[in-house]
This record gives sequence, structure tokens and C-alpha cells, in this order.
Amino acid sequence: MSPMSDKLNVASSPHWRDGSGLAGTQKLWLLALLPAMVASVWLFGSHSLRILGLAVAFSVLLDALANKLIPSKDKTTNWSSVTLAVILAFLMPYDAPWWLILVGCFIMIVVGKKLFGGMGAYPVHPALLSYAMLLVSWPSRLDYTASLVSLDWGVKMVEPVRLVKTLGGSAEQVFYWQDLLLGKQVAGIGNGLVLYLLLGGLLLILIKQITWHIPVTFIIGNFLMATILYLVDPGQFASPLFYLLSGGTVFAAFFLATEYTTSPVNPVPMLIYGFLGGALLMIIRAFSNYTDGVVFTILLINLCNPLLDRIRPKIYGLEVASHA
Amino acid sequence: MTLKQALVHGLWEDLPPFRLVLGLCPALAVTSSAENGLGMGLAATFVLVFSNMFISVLRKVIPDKVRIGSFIVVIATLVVLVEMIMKAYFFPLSQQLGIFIPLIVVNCIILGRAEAFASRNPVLLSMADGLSVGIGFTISLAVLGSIREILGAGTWFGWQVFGASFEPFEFMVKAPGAFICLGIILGLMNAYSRMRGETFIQT
Repeated sequence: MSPMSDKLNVASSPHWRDGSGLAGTQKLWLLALLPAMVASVWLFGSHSLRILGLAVAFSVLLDALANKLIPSKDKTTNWSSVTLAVILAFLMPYDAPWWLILVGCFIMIVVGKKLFGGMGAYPVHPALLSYAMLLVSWPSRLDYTASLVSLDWGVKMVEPVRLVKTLGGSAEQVFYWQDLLLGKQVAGIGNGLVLYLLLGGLLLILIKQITWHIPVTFIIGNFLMATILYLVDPGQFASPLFYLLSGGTVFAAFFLATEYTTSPVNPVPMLIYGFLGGALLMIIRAFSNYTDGVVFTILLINLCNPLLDRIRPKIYGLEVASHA
Repeated sequence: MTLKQALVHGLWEDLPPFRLVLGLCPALAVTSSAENGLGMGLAATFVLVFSNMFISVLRKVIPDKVRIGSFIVVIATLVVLVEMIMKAYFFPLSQQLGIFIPLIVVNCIILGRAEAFASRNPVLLSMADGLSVGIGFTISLAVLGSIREILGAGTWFGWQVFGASFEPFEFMVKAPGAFICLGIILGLMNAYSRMRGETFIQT
């Protein structure tokens, strides 16, 4: 087998090319996730290491096993299962038991990725599909507030969005924005580390792994929708900045919504996609039973993706032919 | 088709709902437990055998233009019978299955077998066909129900399968769990058939 075989060669446009191959891309994504991983280990210690290690080990093993049974172009050596595992691990509460991670990795790799044909073929983000199925099955195991109830970081130990949802907009005053920014808030082991994820996300844009379109419009959409709701009823909703810094908004904008397979390829659909995601996230946070709507938001906009991808750049010369 | 073929084709070659991909509504809705799946399958089998019999007997008398209506009348009569018997003797099960018992009337498998087989074949052959497709449907629903019940509730026909520390995978007893289960079984069956070089694969 040639050394080139782990690169997924697809002939038709539009694709961005820099000759790095799938494995190179995935390694750069891991590099961008690194600041948050380090911060997570610093904050949660061995718990974080345990979850990250188990998730990566299970995912890679399952990926290799699936490839052994049914060989496909989606090779284990393309590193995509490692990136997915880290993203899934970031969403886990710090006391997640090993079997929960195993089931999560199984759904993510086997059901979410392999059954649909591997990297480049799945309709929704596998890590989020897996997390949504776990959340429906074991809601109490994935309750961030309950998992962290015994710890004390000198901040209110309740998920910020949940407190605002139950007590009204004025509850945002118990949280300092510095704490929220630095990740001292109740969340999964990685999805609440706003500053480090922001750094990683900016790195991803700088090294040209993603474009600015989706993250920026995602945040604008979220901010605008939050502003409208805040202006309509300041008693019920917190200020827009609060929603930006709490929960997984930044994680979703930079790392989840921009996933290659499930996001649009052209600039205009990207702008709509990001804006839709941000606005939808705020609506789910404001009016649904789920605390942090990130998972369901991304799954919903993933499903809009094929429709948005129909908005294509004009093909030059074609309109002349049709008007003639 | 010989009698022997009619008796076995519903068990693998035309196994509903995986091969025929008909009757998905009850297959997805009532298979949240093995008992419900089995009950539903047996009720459908009863209707299938007798509807095939009556329609085969009447196939020369039923005018072609109103045949669907006539089939429905025969099937509906049998379904009402099943519903009353279930209410009288299996009341808890009939409460569990609810609306899906009356809905057997519009089950595609039964209408499909009436149209495709019973209306053009002799009585004994039609009954054999109904029996084999019905048993296939019962086995399928019981297997689907078992998988979902064991994973989603940790029980099988109500017996505790795992120890007390088992936390059920509740997703499986909910509606999307049925779709995923059905899809995976369908895929595995196709993979197995392809391996054996069989030619009747559903794609």
C-alpha cells in the first residue's frame, strides 16, 4: 500500500487544497484543541486525563476494528477518530463513568461515522449525535451541575444558563465575566473553557483550516437574537454578552459548526448557516427545556446543510447560453 | 409456487418487515418490548391466514374494479374479531397495543399478500403463504422487541436480564431507537445474503 493511501482523494471541486491530506488537517485541529485540553487538565486534573484518554483509546480501537471488519477509504490513520473523541470528551461531565464513554464512542464511531460511510459522508456531526443519544438515555449522568456539586471554585456552582433560566435575567449578576471567560463555570470538561477555545479557534482561522464565515456569523447571530430578547424582556433574559460567555457558545461557533463534512462549502451558505446556528442556539436556550442548547442546535443546522449547499456561485457564461 | 415454497418463503426470502419493507408502522411503534412485538405479530398472523383464505375462496366472485374495497371488508371483519378476542382474554396486552390492533386493517403486508398472492392462487397455497409470512412477521417483531427491551429496559419478557447496577439505555425504547435497530438488522441481513450470494437483496 502506498504512503499516500491515507489521503482521501476526491476529484471534483470545490475543495480547498494545500496538499496536507486528511491526517495533517486533523492534527492541526488537535493542535487548536490543545490549549483547552491543557486548561481542562489543569482545572480537573486526573479526571480530565482519564476521560480524554479513554475516549481517544476507545474511538481509535473501534475505528480500527470497524475498518478490519469492513475495509473502507476512511482509514484509521487519518486521525479523524482522535479529533472526534476529543470533541466528545469535552462535552462529558468530569465524573463520567467508563461505560458511558464506551457507549458514546461506539455510537459516535460505528453508528455516526462508519455506518454512513466514514469521514466526508455523514449527515450530522458524529460526536454530537452520540452526545444527544446519551443525553436522551441517561440525563442524570450528563447533568453538569450535579456532577460538580461537591467542588468549590469560589463561583456559584450552577450552570450559568440554567440559573438564568430558572431565576430570570438578574441572576447573571452572580457571575463575573472574568470567571466565565477563564472557564470557571459549570460545564463539561472542555466546552466551557471559553478563552482557551477562542485562542484555539483563532489559531484554526490563522492557519487556514477554517474560514471566518461560520464562527463570526454564529456569534453575530447569537448576539443579535440575545439582544432582541433582552430588549423585549430584560427581566427574563440576561444580557447578550452573558450568553456568549456561558456554556458552549464559543466551542460551538469555532469547533462544532465548522466541522468540514457537515457544514456548507461556499461563502454565502456559510454565512446563512452560521447566523442560523447562532440565532437558533439563543432560541433553544430561551424557550426549551434543555439547559445548553448547543448539541441540538448544531444537529438541526447540520440537517439544513444540504439545502443551503444548493446556493451556489454563478457559473460564468451559462446565463448567456440560457438567454440566447 | 409449490406448497413447500409457500410455507418457507416468508421466513427468510420475503421476511417481513426486513425483506418486504412493508408493515413498518406497527414494526416501529409496538416493538418497545418483546411481549408487545410477539402479541402484535400473532394478531397479524391470525388475520393474515384467514384473510388469505377468504379472499382466495372469493377470488372468482370479487369483481376486479372493487377488489381493494372487498379485501378491506374481509380484513376489517377479521380485525374486529381479533380486537374483541384480545379485549376478552388478553386485556393488558390489548391496552398496551392500543390503536395498533384496529390499524392492522390497513397493514400493508396483509393487503399486499391479498393482492399479490391470495387473489390469484388456490386456497391451501394462500393459507400456507399467509402462515409463513405471518410467522416471519411475528419472529421479526419479537426479535426487534427483544433487542430494544433488553438494551432499553434491561428486561426480557419482563424478566430482569442484568444485575441491579445496569442503567438501561433508554434511547432504544424510544421511537428513534426503533429506526436505528431496524436499519442495522436490515443492513446485517443484506450483508449476510450478499456473502452467501443470494439474489433477492433489498436495496
